[in-house]
Amino acid sequence: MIGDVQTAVDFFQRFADKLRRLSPTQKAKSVAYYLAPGLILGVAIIFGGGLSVDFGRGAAISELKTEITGAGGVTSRRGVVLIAEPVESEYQIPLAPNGSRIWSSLDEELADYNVKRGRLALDARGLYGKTPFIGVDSPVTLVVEGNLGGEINIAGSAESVERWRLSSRQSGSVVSGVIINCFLALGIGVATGSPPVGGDKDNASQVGAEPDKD
Amino acid sequence: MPGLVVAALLSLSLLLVHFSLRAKPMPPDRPLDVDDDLPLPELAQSSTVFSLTALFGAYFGVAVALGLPALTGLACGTVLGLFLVRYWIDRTLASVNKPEEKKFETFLSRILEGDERNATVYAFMISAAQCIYAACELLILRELTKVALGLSSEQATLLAIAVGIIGYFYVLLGGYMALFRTDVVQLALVSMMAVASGVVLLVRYSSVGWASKLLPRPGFWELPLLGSSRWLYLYHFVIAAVMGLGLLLASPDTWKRVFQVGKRKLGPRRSMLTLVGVGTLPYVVLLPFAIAISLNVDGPVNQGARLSPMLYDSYVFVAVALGIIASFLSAFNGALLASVHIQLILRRKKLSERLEEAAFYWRMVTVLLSIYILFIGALVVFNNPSRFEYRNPWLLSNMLMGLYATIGGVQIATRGDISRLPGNRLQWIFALGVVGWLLYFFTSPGFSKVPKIHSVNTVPAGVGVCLATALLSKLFMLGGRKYDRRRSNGG
Repeated sequence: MIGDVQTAVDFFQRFADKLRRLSPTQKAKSVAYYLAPGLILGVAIIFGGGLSVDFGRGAAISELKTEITGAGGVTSRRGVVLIAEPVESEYQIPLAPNGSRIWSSLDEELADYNVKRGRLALDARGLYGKTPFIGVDSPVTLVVEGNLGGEINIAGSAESVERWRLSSRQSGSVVSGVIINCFLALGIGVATGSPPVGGDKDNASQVGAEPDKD
Repeated sequence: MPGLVVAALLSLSLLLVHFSLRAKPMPPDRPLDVDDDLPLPELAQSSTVFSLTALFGAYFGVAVALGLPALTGLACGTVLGLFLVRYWIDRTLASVNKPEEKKFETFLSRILEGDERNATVYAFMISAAQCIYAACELLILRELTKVALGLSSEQATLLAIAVGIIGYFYVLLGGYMALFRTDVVQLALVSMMAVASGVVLLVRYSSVGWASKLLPRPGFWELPLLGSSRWLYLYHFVIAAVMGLGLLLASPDTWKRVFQVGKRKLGPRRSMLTLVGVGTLPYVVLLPFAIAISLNVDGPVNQGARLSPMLYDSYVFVAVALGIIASFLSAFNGALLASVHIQLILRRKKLSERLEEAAFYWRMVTVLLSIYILFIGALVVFNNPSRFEYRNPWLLSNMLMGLYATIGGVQIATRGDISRLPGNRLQWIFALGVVGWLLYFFTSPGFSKVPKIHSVNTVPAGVGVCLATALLSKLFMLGGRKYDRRRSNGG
């Protein structure tokens, strides 16, 4: 860990030294083409839950509100659907009042196996799940009765339910498409804005007149 | 499929910009001094009005609440604005003898003549207005993608940031050439969105009495003496016309597009038809929305309520997604580049450096970071119910109206020539105009915690600020021209 941090520090120091040795125009170009937009994108991804928004969170939650009978009657019935991906995570979803059973997509044997090994439970604190469930390599759906609160516990930290709500795949695909293009643009920016490796000769950058004259 | 289509179109346009501009790169000494070979500027003239801020903000509110009289006024004001900008450019460049010097940068340089402090303040205010405008576009893009495309808050924020960066790269790589080329594509996508959604809206809601929806609703832009007579409609027409005019007078990206159309030396009839056509086109787009979408005028605006059902169709969904993104990119790119260009011209007047490449890059970075800081700040303050109880992404654009009004007022009074003003006056004019506007705004219906249609009632006050600023400028101008261009040229 300390070695990794030191390596990163060394890398940034070498990068900063290289940046300082650039001509004023090339420095400006580097900042404009990849440092500034990269910083903005990096902050958005790190603090905005960026990559997990579209490249798959570990779970999705949906609230159940009504029960519709075959005769056409509609009554209020509260519940929660949790779709858990086969990635490493741990969930504690408080429910009020607690339901008495979980309805899952696991078969009997796998459900029994995971319950006995403490990976799936329904207790006074609500629905508990630890993924990946043993013997399963696909998403698992869990349904339980009860009122969903405003927060759930994911991997030990409390998070708003809103961040984990099931969202439209059609909408998510638009976000994915745009983010991919953003990285494509950043890649073009790195290629265009980086100083030539060979110095003054054979400058293939966009502006070709007098690249080193400031 | 929708994501794939959006990704494919954005990739193609990005690569098109990149590879076509390798053949004709931006000039290193003056990267934005590009007037030749810019394609189809006529189609791009209305991009300011096709912005999200206009289409889904102020103009949408005016169309729904005030109906046809005000909408007609907006259209006429826009057309008048285009003519006035054209006249302004021609008059400013009339004294330039050499045809090769009749450039857009010459025009920008000329409008910043006069007292140095005045020029600095003028350039700063126009540049700042464009930065705030671009931030408003990001905010409204975020909100529209939530209500129209069903994105979560996080997804919408990330999409807005990512699309903004894509737009930044368009103009960083290619400047005006990229802007004009992508404008053509974007206008096509916006038109496709307008046709698709307009047809669906009109078909689904045609049973509603559309004729009654073309008239103003009570409670908007009322004057006690006028009642509900035709004089009220005339009043609406005039207010909206000034609004439409003011937006274009204060938008440097519109000046550039009008300049390019003027360069094409179209005949007078064709030129006039072009200006009228592109000036009124956005309002034709707004009309089906205004007819079909009915709002609870006493409650918060929920534009998604009527839009959502039509987006069940994948093709309409894709058309709307592309149209929203395209509309944003056109306005955002134009505002970003305009802000940078004004700053470069001001810098040139002070430093007279031959090579401006580094200055161009630094200004692009500064403007980009400013826009994003404004965007994040506005999200935290105006769209954060848990902290400040505000959930109104349109608040910033509503406040921006005052800044546009003061810029427009100065331009109307000085006829686009700030050298008519005595030295060191412009900062006071702007300060009084902006402070006066904000003092009104914070007690107005526009300063609401949720977006409400009653925000359009701030428009007459905005027009008042414009006229008051013009009057104040005229008062300062009494007593003679201190920095008359003719005197400085020895004429």
